[in-house]
Amino acid sequence: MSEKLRGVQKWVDRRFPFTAFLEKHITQYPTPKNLNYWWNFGSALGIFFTIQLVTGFWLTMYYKPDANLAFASVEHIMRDVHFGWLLRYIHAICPSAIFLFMYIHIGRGMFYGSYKQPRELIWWMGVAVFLAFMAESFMGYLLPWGQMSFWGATAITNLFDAIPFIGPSLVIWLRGDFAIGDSTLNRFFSLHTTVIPIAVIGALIFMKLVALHHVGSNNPVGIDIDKKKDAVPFSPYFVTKDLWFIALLLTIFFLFVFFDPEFVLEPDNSEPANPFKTPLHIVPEWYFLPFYAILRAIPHKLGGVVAMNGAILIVAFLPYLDWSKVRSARFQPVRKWMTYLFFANFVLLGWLGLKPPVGGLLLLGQVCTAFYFLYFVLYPLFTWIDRTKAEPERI
Amino acid sequence: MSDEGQSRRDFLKVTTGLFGACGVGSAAYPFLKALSPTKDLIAAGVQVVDISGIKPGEMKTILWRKQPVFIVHRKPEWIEQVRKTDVSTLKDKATDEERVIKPEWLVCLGICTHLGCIPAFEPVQVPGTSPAVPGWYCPCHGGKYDMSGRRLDGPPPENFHLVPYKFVNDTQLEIGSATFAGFTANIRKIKDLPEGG
Repeated sequence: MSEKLRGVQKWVDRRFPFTAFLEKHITQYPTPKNLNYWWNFGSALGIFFTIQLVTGFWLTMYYKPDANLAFASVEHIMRDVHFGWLLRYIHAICPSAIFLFMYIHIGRGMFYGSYKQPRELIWWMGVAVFLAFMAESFMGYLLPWGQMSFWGATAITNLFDAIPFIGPSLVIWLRGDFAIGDSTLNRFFSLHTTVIPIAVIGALIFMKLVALHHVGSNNPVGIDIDKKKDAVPFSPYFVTKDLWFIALLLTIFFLFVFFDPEFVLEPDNSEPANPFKTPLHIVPEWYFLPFYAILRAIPHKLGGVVAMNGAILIVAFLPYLDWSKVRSARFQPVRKWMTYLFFANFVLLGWLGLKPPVGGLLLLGQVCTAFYFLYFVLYPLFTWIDRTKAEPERI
Repeated sequence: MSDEGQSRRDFLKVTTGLFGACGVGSAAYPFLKALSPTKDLIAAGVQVVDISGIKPGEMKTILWRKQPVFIVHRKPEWIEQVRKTDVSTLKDKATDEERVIKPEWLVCLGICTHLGCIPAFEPVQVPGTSPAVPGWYCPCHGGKYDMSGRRLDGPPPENFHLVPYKFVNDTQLEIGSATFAGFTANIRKIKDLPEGG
């Protein structure tokens, strides 16, 4: 570095901890040297969320949040705006990547016990980010004002109808109208573009990173690391590893964007919202399917809603449901296999969400739902009785 | 590390940097391009105007690409006057012949080249001219233009800009072209206008 640059750096450092920040969080940040590829999805999520923010800012410049103009403005973006098709396809496909990576990221946290002390707050902030992304994608889905937008929003807001006493008035209050209408579209647009992505998701991710860098990353072995013997600096080792993996994920992502953009999009949504006609086959986005299957497995309105919400919220209790002495499932055979079964069951629930809930499929959905909850209910038991293998002293 | 190893590392660093710069550049391009006028706005930049009702000495202002365009049916004495002007006295030098297709019709952007106000049509006398010159007077900062749309006096640096146009027949004028974006260059002479306009 030249003398002149060093001078600028000194000037800045006296006023803003630039160099100290870089050293603490990047060039000297101790990262466990045994992190496997399941640890790559956090940084990938950061990049894909940034892509959503930037393409979202751009789409906002041409999109019109008005029930009479919204659908046509999306067509305008697709046809007339230079590269509008690219911006919109990226923005419409990216949630699929984000949810896939979130599920992998959460699964990794469950398997390696990343929720255990001292990382409970990180876990809860993560659950909150997941819920916020669900709200974000649900509200964003209304904006194109197509048939699936309209009827998806109708069905989801009606879930609140199941709440005793206040339900019906709550639904009208949420919509700002007696059915999904212009007021709903405008408030969803406001929440989708400002409050949730920036004040909720952005702020939570920032706090999550602050907490993470305070306690340090967990690792596949799950032991507390010796920062000298077990760690390598984040830069260049993990910067390089993250960058190449993100490049790989982006390559796969753009294969869909350029060659099969309609893969995750519903053809029914190319038809403008029509309050007189419900589409014949209405399913949520694929990333909601497991929870949708749980909702449908319970043949009771309130019961289904409680089960679906409970299925998400119960994950937040893992730090207290885990009674084992070790973090990583590697050293607990029963927990390990139960967790593998849980993952398979989750995928099966997703598949069931695609199918009509009749006959054997309804029964299977109920069995899978029962297993989903049983896993958490039995968690204290099998983490406590499991014969824990000896952990290594060092990585 | 040997010297050779060092130079290999430098090579890798430079290559990575260059590839990264190409990637960032090509990723930024669609975002920057998306901010320029959309394709429908460019396509809407062609319109046909009926000029049969404009009598000699009258002006019609139409909106083209959200900008005023002056269409003036010039009287013979106006044509005579702007054609005898000594071009060397003008700040933005152009002869009247270079600025019109047919002598009796002047078609130009009705925007003062100083700060973008719409100058007032003064068919008798532009205020402050002696002897009297007909043309335009800009109320904002006193810019003066003659009946060829050429800047005579005041703060404007240039003559009125020209727009692409052609005569469909004696009564119809087609203004604009489907490709001319119009925000990149100051077209000063008819011969510099793009084809198809």
